[in-house]
Amino acid sequence: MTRRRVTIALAAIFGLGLALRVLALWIEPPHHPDEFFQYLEPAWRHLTGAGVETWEWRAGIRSWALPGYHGAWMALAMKLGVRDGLAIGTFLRAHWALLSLTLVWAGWRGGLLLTRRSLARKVLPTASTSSLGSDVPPMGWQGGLLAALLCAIFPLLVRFSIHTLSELPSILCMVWALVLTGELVEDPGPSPRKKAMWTGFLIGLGVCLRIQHAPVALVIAIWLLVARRARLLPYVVLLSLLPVALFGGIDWATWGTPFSSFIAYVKFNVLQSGADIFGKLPPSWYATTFFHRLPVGLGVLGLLCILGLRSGWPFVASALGLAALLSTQAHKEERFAMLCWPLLLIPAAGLVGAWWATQKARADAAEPGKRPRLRIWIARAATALFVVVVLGDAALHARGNDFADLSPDRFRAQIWAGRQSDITGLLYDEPLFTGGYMWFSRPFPQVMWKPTLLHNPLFSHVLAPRHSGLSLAAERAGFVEVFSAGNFAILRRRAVATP
Amino acid sequence: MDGWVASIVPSRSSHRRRPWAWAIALLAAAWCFGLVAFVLADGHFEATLPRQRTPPSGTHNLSRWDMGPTVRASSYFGDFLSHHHPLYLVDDREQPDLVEKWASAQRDRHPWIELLWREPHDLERVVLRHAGALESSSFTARRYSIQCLTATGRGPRVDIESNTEPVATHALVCRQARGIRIELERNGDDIVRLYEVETWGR
Repeated sequence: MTRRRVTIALAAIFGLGLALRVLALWIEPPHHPDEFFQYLEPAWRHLTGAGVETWEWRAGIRSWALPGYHGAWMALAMKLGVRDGLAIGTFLRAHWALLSLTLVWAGWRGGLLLTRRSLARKVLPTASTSSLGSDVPPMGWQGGLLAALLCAIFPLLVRFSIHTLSELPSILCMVWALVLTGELVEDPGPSPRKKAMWTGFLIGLGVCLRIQHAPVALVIAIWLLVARRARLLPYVVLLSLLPVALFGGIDWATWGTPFSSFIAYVKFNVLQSGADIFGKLPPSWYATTFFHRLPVGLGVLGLLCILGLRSGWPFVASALGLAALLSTQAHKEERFAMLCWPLLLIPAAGLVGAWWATQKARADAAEPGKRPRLRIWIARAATALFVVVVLGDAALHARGNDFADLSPDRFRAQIWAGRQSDITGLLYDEPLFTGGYMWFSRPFPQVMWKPTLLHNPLFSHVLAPRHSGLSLAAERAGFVEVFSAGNFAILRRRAVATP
Repeated sequence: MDGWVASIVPSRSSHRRRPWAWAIALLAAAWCFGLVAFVLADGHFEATLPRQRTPPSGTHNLSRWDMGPTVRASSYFGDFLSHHHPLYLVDDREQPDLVEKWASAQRDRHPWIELLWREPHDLERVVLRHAGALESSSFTARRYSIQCLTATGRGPRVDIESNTEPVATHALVCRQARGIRIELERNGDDIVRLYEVETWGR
């Protein structure tokens, strides 16, 4: 393999990752109401005056940082004349999908790093590379490419990449922070302080976005101490305080007190166990869910992570720490633990890459006539099998999400209704499972139905599952079906002659 | 490895990096512009209903929903279930459900609403159906002002200091009015609730 070929392979992986994310934009259903009502709708409401305000926003347990970030893009789009909520929402999803490709780059660097860490412990026969000249690929490229490939096309990561949830940016920050820490430990390069400061900034930002990801920060600190890089720790800590101060300042400006939303969030979720009202699940739930997602592949990943523990322990420890922390919380959702996947995929890829590199080196050093090519082909076949097992298994079990009732058909129907010129109000059966006012793109009321509201002249349209109680009541009140999407129908009030 | 990485991501001084750096700088500048616009937005509500009938020649409710009024509001209480939308102010419902009222948002310290018409009218009186008409009398707004809006600015105004009427009628004669603006004071820390606003004139 030449450096040029590795570069082409890496570019192809990025291309594949991009193509899959574009596909996800088309076919991926909504994942969680929070992606609309916590991180988009508040910004939309602030700009247009129309929107749902959830109890979290009235209670002040959310930071304006992420909605503010989205809101800046929304305001920019509106200044440019784009006022369609769906168009702006699609842009924001595409933007996160693009940003999620940085995980592929982090996977490449992480895989490269962990493969080199594994290889560093082995005494490999050296082969002459003089024939390759300056076109020699970097050591550990096998693990780098494998990790990049897994991060690019692992189905759950592809699916998750388009959702406007706080987990995604935090995942990007935490994985990058771990990779940069690994590079600081292995080969700090010419400017270790700068890299340490970036690491700190990413840790701070990742934890501020998702406090549950804090175990990664702890592992990073331990890693630096164990590797005798404690002199870099102050830079990490100092720069991690920058996002913390920023989030505190945003709370001060929006809620009136520094760290107000953070304190309220911790009080509600940790001290009062408030999230329990959204459902309690047993401590083993995350393990069971991971197993359901990857019934065969999880065993393979687990085994590889154990075998490669000496080099990849910070990644594995971060994943286990996160899973353990989340398992102590009664309320559980799969999205909370999404960070575990790249933290397991990268070290597994690093170990497979190291094994592949070892076989290649031995084959290169073998005496002529000892069929060295067989060894290479076995290594390649085993690597391909690993990729097929993990990705195939994940693809077969990729369906479903935390909210099974979030039907894309309901969203399609709502969007259709919002585009009707004669609409003045929409009644529906379940407000939580829609895209809010942003997807509706109209300032007219859209509320959960009550029999009496069917007689309010403002409500010109009804969104209901076919043959449901609402659908039948609407028909009795003079509504007729004018559109359908899957099992959902839009009914319109019959025109009434007015004086 | 860093050397190899550097060959893919060119160094700061490389000419190849400049288009990327410019693109990122441009995006950052555009985002900052958007952020300023976002921060400066006051979050007020505004909606215009389609006109569904021709205004009669005699005295009538100028801001009824089917006349196609524009409703503006400083805010509204937008919970999933208690969604007190400003357009309920003009839905002309005689027996409304408790949800069919406008309520200001909790953080709105200076609630106001504006009802605007499609063409100038001669305003005679304004009728406010307060929450006290259907709920606790303590929900009725005590202090508020109603001001006539004209093409040239603001017209006559009435200030109400201690209202107790659940359905309050206020004479407000205003020629060639374009609408009205009501500024309400909260009763203590409570939000403002209002079921209907009727503007009678011709």
